[in-house]
Amino acid sequence: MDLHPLVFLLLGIGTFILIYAILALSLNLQQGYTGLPNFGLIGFYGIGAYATASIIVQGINPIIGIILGMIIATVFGIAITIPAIRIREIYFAIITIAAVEIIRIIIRNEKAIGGEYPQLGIFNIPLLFGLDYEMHKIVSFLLLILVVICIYLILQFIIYSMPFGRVLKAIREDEDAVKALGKNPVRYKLIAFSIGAIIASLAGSMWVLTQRAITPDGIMPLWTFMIWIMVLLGGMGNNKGVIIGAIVITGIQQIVQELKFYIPTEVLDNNQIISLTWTSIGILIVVVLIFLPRGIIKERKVRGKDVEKTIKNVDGGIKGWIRLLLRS
Amino acid sequence: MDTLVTKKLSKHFGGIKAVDGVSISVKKKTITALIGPNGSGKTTLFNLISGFYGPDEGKVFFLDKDITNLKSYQIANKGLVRTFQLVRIFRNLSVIENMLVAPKRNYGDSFIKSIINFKKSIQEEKESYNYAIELLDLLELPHMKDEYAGNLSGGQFKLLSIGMALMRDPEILLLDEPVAGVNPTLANKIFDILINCRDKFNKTFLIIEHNMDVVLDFSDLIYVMNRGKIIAEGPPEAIFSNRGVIDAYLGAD
Repeated sequence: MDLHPLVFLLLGIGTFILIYAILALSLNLQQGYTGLPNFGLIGFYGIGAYATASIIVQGINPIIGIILGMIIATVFGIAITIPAIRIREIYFAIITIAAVEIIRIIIRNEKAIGGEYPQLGIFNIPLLFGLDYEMHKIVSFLLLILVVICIYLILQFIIYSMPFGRVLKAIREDEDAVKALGKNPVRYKLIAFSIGAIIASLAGSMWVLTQRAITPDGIMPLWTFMIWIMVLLGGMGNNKGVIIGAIVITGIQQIVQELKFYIPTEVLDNNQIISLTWTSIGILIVVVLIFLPRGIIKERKVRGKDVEKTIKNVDGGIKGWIRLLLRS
Repeated sequence: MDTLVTKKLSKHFGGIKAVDGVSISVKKKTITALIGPNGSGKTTLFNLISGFYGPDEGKVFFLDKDITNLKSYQIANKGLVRTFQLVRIFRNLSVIENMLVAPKRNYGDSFIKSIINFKKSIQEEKESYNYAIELLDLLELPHMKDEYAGNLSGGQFKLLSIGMALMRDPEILLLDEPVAGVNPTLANKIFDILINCRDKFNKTFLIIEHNMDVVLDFSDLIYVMNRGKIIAEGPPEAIFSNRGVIDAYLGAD
């Protein structure tokens, strides 16, 4: 099959966007809804990516790698958050960033985890389902759309249909008030953080499956900040918003980088084009945050009507359930 | 049996004895008031009782059980709920959501349980929702149901925080200045609601309040604190004729 080069390019950009959308959804659960500033998000992605890559290189079914990644990410997440979760936001942010840098440095230097050449990463991951290269691109894209939709629906369900999700938002607003109402914030935070870690790990696994390589530079703290920008820009506390944030930021990044094929090097060389990416993102953030301080789409207000609807839909059999899932 | 008893409770901040050997007991089905000048240790005492501070000395008994070393949320789960002087509500959630965060849920509080028994958790939610609507009516807030809690007025903050505490259906409610900044008509109404809860549902209240009119009218027993110590206790009439109390707090004429 011969794909038009433009379609090919768009599929590539779309794949990037969707993986970032998964990460943005994960951060939105942790920071946007629960108020846990995870500045080490990319580390959890790295865990998923390296676990999956190592398993695939061994010739074992990638599903096992995905699950293994999720388990390690959860355990690691709990291990760093149990000491960190009792302290306030800013310290939590510092601890997460430090813990995750430790992971990156270990991966970069340890052959057992980082592959034969740990500085370079793990390559030569086979194509999905033994397809040819172009079909692999198409299937990757469709698979990622499916994953993003599933994660989106699950998160909307947790936050807007389960009473549990409301407590997460309350913890973000005032932890002591939640304690005074007889709920243990630590437990809620651990669960929210773990779900976020699992989703981030899945993003890493999907990256390896679709892009077929992972390098230690792919888990630099820089990428965590990128995801933060997407969440801030799209609208903290709005799952639709952060997906739009991922589309805008990744879109700009990829499109500006495409310019290098069209602009002669005498005008702008490669490094200058990369700088141009950051400049344009920077300008965009400033503009959006001046005019839309709560992001492109702000957080949804839950009214009495919404609660009534949830109650009615749960009583309403299968149709009600479908409505419950799709309503969000 | 007294609902709440403290025995020689003390808390020091550096050299300051914020609470110094305080022993009080709150009888079931009463409204007990705690009054005293600013900085006399009333709120610190609340924090000690509700587990937000650990005491340096002394013990707290709730329904004859020692709760001194329990965590704040465990104490709240046992049925001792407090409100805060500087009202703590969830500003970016709607009023109805604030109310619905509060109730104790058998299924909805646990993530795993509420997934397995999702239908039951929503059944609970329905009951909570109806109760919340009832309480909002009682507190004259029904029209604010869908408003962001942060947009309420100061007095309405107080009402909402009382409403949230009542959502938990507590055994005893510790209210820190429930009617400060509330107009007199509404203040009387709040206390009518509290009296109603006391008589109909056998609830107990311990209240910090500076509004002497309502304290005099509605409380069954008053404790007066000054400089971390209880300086007087008794029914309202006795307290308001007590020389020491007048000197320390009410001001000599």
